[in-house]
Amino acid sequence: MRWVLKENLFLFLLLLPAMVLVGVFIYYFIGWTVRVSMTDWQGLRPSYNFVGLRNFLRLFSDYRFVVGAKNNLFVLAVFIGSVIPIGFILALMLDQNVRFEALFRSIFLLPMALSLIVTATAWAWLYNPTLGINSIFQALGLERLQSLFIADPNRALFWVTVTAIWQFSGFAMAIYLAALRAIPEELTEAARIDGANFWQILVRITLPLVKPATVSLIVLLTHVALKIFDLVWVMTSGGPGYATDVPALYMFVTTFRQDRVAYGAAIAVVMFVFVMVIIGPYLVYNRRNEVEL
Amino acid sequence: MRRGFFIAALLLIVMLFSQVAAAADEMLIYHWWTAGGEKEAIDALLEVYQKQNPDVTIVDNPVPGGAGVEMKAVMKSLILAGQPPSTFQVHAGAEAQLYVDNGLMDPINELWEKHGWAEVVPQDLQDLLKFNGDYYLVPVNVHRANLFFYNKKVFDEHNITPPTTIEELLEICEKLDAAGITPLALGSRYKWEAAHLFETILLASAGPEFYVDYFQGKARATDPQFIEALTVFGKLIGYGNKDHSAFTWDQAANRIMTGEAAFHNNGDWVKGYLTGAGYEAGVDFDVFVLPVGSFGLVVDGFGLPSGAPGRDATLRFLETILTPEGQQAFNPIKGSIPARSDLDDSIYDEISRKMMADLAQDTLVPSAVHGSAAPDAFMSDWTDVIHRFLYTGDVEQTARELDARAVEHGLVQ
Repeated sequence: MRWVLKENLFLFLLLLPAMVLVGVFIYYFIGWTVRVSMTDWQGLRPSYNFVGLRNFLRLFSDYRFVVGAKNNLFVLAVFIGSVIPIGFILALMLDQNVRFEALFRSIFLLPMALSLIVTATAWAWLYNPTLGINSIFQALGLERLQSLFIADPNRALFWVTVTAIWQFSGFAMAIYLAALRAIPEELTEAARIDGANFWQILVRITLPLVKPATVSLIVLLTHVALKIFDLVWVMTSGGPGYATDVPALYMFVTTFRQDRVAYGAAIAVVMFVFVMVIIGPYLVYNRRNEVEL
Repeated sequence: MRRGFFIAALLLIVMLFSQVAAAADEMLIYHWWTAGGEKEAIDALLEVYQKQNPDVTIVDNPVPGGAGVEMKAVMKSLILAGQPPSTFQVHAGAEAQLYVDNGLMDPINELWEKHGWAEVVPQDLQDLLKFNGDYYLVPVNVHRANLFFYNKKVFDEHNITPPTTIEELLEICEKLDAAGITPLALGSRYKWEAAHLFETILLASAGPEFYVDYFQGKARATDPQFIEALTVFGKLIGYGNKDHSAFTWDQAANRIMTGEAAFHNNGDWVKGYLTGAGYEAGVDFDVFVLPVGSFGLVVDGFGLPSGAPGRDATLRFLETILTPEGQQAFNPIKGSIPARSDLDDSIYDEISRKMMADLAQDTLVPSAVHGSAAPDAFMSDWTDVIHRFLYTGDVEQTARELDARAVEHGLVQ
C-alpha cells in the first residue's frame, strides 16, 4: 500500500511540470481570452472594463464575420468531402501490392512535409493569371481552360481549398494505409472464399474496420479547416474583397492591425466554441470505445 | 557521454541568457527593408554607423513584408511584452504617434537642438516627427506617394502627353482603351496597393485641404467631395486589369514594361524596382505627378523606445541617420530622397532631383496608407473597405461604411 502511494507520488511529481505548463499556457490563457472578450480593450494599453456580451452581439451583425464564417463552412465541407475519399482511394490503390509502393507513398505524403507558407507561396504563383498554370494552357493552345483562379471573387475560395486538399490528402492516405494494414488477412480471405466480390468486401469489411481512422481524420481535418489561416493569408489576404476571408484571419487583423483586442478575443472565443462542438463528441466517442475494450 | 550532454545543456542555457541580457554596446534594430535595393540601402547606412562606432555590435532584425505590414504586429507584441528593441523603423506621423501617446517612446529634443536639425528639415515634415511639441523621431528618407509610372513607348506611339489633371487622366484612359490597350496596371494582392491608388485620387480630386481634413476627422466620407473622388476612382478601376487581386505592386509595375498596361500608380520605390529589372528611367519609363503641386509624403523614421537596451549606442545611431553621410549613403540606393534640404543633389538620378526640387516648393501632405496621416488601426479597416469597393463598385454604400469605421475608431466624434 505504502509502496503504491510512493509510486503514485513519484509519477505525480514527474507529471507536475507538464501539468503546470499546460495549465498556465493553455487553460489559463483560454480563461484570460474569455475575460478579455468581455472588456472594452481597444488600443495598445490593456483595459479591463467589463462590457458583458457586447462584443459577441456585435460580432453576429458584423458583415465581415458572417461572410467569413460562411466561407469557413464551405472550406470545411469541400475540404473534408475531398480529402477523406481521395486519401482512402490512394491508400486502397497502394494496398494492392503495387510495385514501387514506397516511392508512391513518399510522393503522396510529401506535400504534408511542406510548411503551409511554402505551399501557399508556390500555389499563388501557379494560380497567377499570367504566369502560372494559365501560361501552360497558353503554350498548349488551350486558352479556353484559362481561369482567373484566386483573382476571381466567385471562385477564389474554391481554389484556396484545392491547395489545402493537395496538402492534406497524402496525410489521410497514410492514416488509411495504416488502418488497412491492420485488417486481419483472414477476414478478407474468409469473405472471398464465401464468394464475396470486391465491393462486398469493401462495404461490409473494409469500411467498417477503418471507421475509427475515419472518425479521427474527420476530427483532425475539421480543426485544420476551422483554423485555416496560413494558406489564406499568404495566397489572398482574404481577398478579393472578403471572398476568402475566414474568422481566424479576421481575428488576427482585428487584434494586431486594428488594435481591437477585446473584439479579436471575442472572435477567438467563438472559434473555440465551434471547435469544441466538433471535438466534444469525439472525446465522448473515444471514452465510450475505451470502456467497451 | 552523460557529462558531455550535461555540458552541452549548460552551454545552451548560457547562450539563451546571453541573448536576453544584451550588452551595453549592443544595438538591436528592427526594420522591414528586405527586398532588393532596400536591403543594400540599410546595409550602407549601418556600415557608416559601424565605421563611426567600431565597438558597437549591431543586431540586425529585418522582418519581411512590404510597407511593414508584418513588422507592425511583431513590434506591438514586443513592446507590450516590455521587450522593446533598441530602435525600430516606423512611419512618421500617426503611426509613430500611437507609441508616443501610449508613453512608450522617449523624446530626443537634445539631439535635434545639438545639430540644429530644425533648420535643415522642411517644416511640414518636422510636424510628422514632433508630438505635443517634442521631437521623437529622426527621419531616414522621404518617399513620394503620388506618382504614376508609365511606359514611354506606349505614350509616344499614341501621341499622349502626361496628364496634369484627373480629367486628362480619364481622357487618356479612354483613348488607350479604344486602342485596345489596358490603361491602368493594378495590383491588390495585399490590398494596400488599391488603397494607395485611391489615396492619390482623393488627393487629386478633392484637393490637399480636404484630404488633410478628412484624415484628421474634420471632413467626412459622406461629404460630396469624397463621393466625387470615389466615383472617379470607380471609373479608373474600370480601366484596370480585372485580375488585380493576384498581383503584388511589383508584378503590376512589371506589366507596364511588358506592354500589358500603360501606367501604374505607386510610390517612387517603383523606380528602384524597374531600374533593378534593367529598364532605364526617361527612356523605357517615366513618371508623372498627380495632383501637380502636392507632395505625398512617405517618411520612415527611427526613435528611442522607453527602457530599451543599448541606449547610448542607439542615440549615436539616431545621430548618424540624419548626418549628411548617413542620408547620402542610404537614399541614392533606396531610390528615395534625403529628409534634409541642404544636401548635394548631384549624386541622385534625374527623377530624384525633380522630387528634391518639388519637396522644396510643393504642398506637403502625409500619406495615409503609409501610416502618416491617420491611425494605423483605422487605416487597416479603411484599406479593407476600399479593396472591397473594387468588386462592389457601390459608391454610396462604401462611403457610408467608411464613415461608420471613422466613428468607430474615434476619428470622427
